[in-house]
Amino acid sequence: MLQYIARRLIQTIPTVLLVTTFVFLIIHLVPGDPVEMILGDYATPDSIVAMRGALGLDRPLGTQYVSFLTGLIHGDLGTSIRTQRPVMAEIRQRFPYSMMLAFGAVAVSTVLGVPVGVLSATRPGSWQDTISMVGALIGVSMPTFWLGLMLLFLFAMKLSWFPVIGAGDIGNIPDTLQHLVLPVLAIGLSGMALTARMTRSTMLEVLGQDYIRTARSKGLAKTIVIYKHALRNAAIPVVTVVGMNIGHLLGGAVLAETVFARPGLGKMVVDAILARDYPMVQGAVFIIAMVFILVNLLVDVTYAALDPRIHYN
Amino acid sequence: MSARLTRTLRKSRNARLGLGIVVVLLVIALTSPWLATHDPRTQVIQDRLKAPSAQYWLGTDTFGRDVFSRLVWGTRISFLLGFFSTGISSIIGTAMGIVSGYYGGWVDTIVMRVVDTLMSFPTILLAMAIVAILGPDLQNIVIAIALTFSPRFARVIRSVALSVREQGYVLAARASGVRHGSIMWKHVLPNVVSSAIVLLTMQIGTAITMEASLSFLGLGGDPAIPTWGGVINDGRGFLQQAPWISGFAGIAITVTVIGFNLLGDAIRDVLDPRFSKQL
Repeated sequence: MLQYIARRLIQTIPTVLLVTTFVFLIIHLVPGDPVEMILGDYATPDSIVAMRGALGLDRPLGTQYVSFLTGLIHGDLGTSIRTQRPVMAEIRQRFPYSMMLAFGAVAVSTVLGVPVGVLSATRPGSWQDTISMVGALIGVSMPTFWLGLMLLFLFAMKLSWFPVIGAGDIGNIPDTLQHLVLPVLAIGLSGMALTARMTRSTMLEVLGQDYIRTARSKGLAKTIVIYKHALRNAAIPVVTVVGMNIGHLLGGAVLAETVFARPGLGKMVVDAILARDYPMVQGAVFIIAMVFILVNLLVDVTYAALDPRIHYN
Repeated sequence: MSARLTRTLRKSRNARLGLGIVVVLLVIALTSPWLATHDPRTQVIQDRLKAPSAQYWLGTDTFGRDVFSRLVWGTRISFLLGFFSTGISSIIGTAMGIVSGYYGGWVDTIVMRVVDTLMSFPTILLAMAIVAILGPDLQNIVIAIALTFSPRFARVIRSVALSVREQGYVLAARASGVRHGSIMWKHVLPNVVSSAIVLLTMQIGTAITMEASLSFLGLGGDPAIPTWGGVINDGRGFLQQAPWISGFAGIAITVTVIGFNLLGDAIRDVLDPRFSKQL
């Protein structure tokens, strides 16, 4: 187990390095002069020189790369062009909002998606199965941001059950939770649909196995067979889906934050792209990618814990 | 293959539904200039935010533009961008996958490292980063989606190519001194094409959603161009007074994606039944 974790950690190193390099290159890959792009029509020769100096673009590429990496190690992601504040400070301020959203969505999609999938798989062809799977198909096909807007329209504007925009006062827990419900649902429902579909297809496969027939013929209670014998063996693919979902859900958070005007990382990236605030884009992309890599690592370690067979390959 | 296709279509209601939806939308996309009741860009300020009526079937937006006509033209744009971006990503990804799987060794290591790196970003974030580099514009959205999706093709095609490499006919071709390029083109490619087509159909819906998401975020450039995501964005500030603007545009996207998802499942069953568990 430890050996597996160690090997998986070592495999992550080149990926992290390549991701870091890509993030560094974002500003350098801009066609033409990024400084002129940032300053737009207001560019004067003096301001161009000043901006180039401020971003460190006047130094050789190698030097810039080294200082970028040194900065990263010290937790320094540069300074935002728009707000003139350190990018790291901006990220630290917004990070909790995005994490709450992502975790809420993961919770909703797993807690609701797995039982729906199990229910469908144990009664294939029944009306419950049909309804769940039609719902799941619509759920995976609906764009997250649109679902968010429609929830906003119905539950915040028409019924006034929830606040319309923002994330609320983070010190006030009921207020924060109230602001969280609709965006979590907007992202979580499509995640739930995906989880339900995947759980159903893996459960169907597992339920056809010999050991399930044996367990049944022994006269074990149906719920024991389903939850103890079947679901446990279907757990690995389900964990995969939950892992895959996290990327999808982090992406969904980017959109949902824009829809609900929540001050999270996703909204920060969108605003930064539109304002051509490259240090901010780089910082946010870097942090989100690192979170994603870390989550994938955790998912893989969870597999190893769930399935003893993984050690040997 | 066509026998299997007719059998799938006859047997599966979902397959018929998916094909039906996609064909209808394709017809709308092809005939949009004749189908649209108004010019999608013409602004009639005195008719702004009008509810659906006989004159404006799906109402008007804040500039008094006809929502129905914008959605009809949007179908054409979504289909064009969806097909183009997935088409390009399948070509890039298939090439990467074949080269990686066929050569193996350090070539494989390098290609797969790049693929891993690209897959270390949530897809929409990577697409946004690419648009951030190239600038907000529909053409750049196509490039961004194509680059974001190609690693998935590379992974799947590589695994198929790995097994094709060990086949007798490939070994025979190598033994008789056929050049690598020619083996990949004549022996490996034909064997991976069906997997690529399956993945391609399954990705079109995702590509259309991705394009809509990026346009919704305002990364599509010119807001006068009637994209579905753009229409939803136009309606966003007027949900209270004019919910039909965003509402209908989202329904259009959902129905389209359902169509491609169902069709993708059907094509997978026809071309590559083994695949069903891998994707």
